Amino acid sequence: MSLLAPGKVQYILCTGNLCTREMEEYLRSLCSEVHIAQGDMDEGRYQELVALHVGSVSFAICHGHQVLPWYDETAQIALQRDLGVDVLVVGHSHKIGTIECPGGGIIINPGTATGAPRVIDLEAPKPSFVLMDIQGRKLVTYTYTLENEDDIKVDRSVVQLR
Amino acid sequence: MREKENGPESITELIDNNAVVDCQELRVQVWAGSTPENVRSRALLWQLLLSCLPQDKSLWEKTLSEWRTQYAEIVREIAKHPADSAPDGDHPLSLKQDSHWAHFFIVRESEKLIDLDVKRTHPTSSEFRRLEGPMHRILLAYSLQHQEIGYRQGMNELLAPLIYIYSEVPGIKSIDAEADAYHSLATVMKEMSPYYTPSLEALHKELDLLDDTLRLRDPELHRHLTSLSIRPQLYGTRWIRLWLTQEFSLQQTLILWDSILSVHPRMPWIRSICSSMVVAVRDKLLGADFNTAAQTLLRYSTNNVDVELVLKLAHAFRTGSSIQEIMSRR
Repeated sequence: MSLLAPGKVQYILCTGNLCTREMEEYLRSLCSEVHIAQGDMDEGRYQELVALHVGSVSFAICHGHQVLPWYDETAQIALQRDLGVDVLVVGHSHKIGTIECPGGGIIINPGTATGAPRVIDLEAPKPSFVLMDIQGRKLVTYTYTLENEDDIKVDRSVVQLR
Repeated sequence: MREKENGPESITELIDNNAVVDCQELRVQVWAGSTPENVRSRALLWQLLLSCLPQDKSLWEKTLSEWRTQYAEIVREIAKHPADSAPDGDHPLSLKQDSHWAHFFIVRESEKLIDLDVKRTHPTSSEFRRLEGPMHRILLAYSLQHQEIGYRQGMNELLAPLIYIYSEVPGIKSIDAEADAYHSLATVMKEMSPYYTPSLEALHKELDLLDDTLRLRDPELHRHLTSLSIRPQLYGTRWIRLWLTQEFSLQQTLILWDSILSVHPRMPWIRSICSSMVVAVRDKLLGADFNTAAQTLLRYSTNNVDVELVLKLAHAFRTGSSIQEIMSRR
């Protein structure tokens, strides 16, 4: 992705399934703070659950295959509530989206950066990732989706955390 | 200190006692050896000599207010964050020409170099550590307002005496001193920008002229330096580009700047001063090998040469007095 030049982002939060060392190297070439959670297809060894703070916002990253039933929203919300973080970043479903949790905080799924299909898919989803601009307790998220060949769609949304 | 003639008004008097300041008289007084009596007078002297402030004092309030407002506007623009100002459709990874975000990242790159240089300006002086914020803003503002030249190393050194003096003026607001220094820097850079371009043409021309000047004034010294392959290209670049801010103590540099600012056209006078600096250490240079001679000129401040002597020698060159006479009277 030629948009992702070094120097523009300070943190990369990855939900795992990078699969190869090369992908990890690539991400580490973009910035110094790269946080990766263990996926079910990863070559490397990472933590199952990664926690960090960016400014005053707390994050947890988890691939999501550990949360049962798979792809279940309620289960994810329960995890977010247990962890008590502002933002839970999950993957696994390859489905991009944000859930606003009733108890406060959000769950973000950045989708699949490579457009890889899941084991149960017949069709590949569109590649996507999420860029988040954190200003105090305000989160501005930009969702980048590769529509076709070189058409990149950018969607902007704002979440005000309590 | 050189003697003043009887009777002339001091610099402070020339500025304060007249509704219209006689800049020509100011120049004559500085030329004759007068030094501004206090910081305020020096700040006003410099701004008058740079033609930033008009001679007619009734116009001062308007002039100051104009450029201070202008500067405040520039700083506001810089401080704008694309998160607040960017229109719909603009995003942090945009590479488009008119993208606020793309511009933001370009500015950030400039800032890195400015930040480094500001921290290195007069590194041992605590006054300059306090001035880092203002210097950073001024240099960034200049580079954004003059994108054809941008920020170049050395501008921080030209800015240093300006911001130092202006911020010491009793009662002045920090932001006003900043605006004044920005304006003076922009004025200085109008003259100096040919020496800050990637093409070194103007600089080399100047250095060749310096070589000629030296050959005319002190053929023996010039012969010796040439035999050692020491030419102005080696030591003169920094002297000329930085208006000698690195070669004397801060206080002595201020006196030198009074002199430099009082003369127009400036470059021939600066060259005169440069050649005088070389002549002032002729005893050290004549007996020296390449290493010693190069060090003497490259680290000129270690020679502890009195700036008054240098100015005397430069004047002598103008008036044809003998170098030997001046050197022997030290």
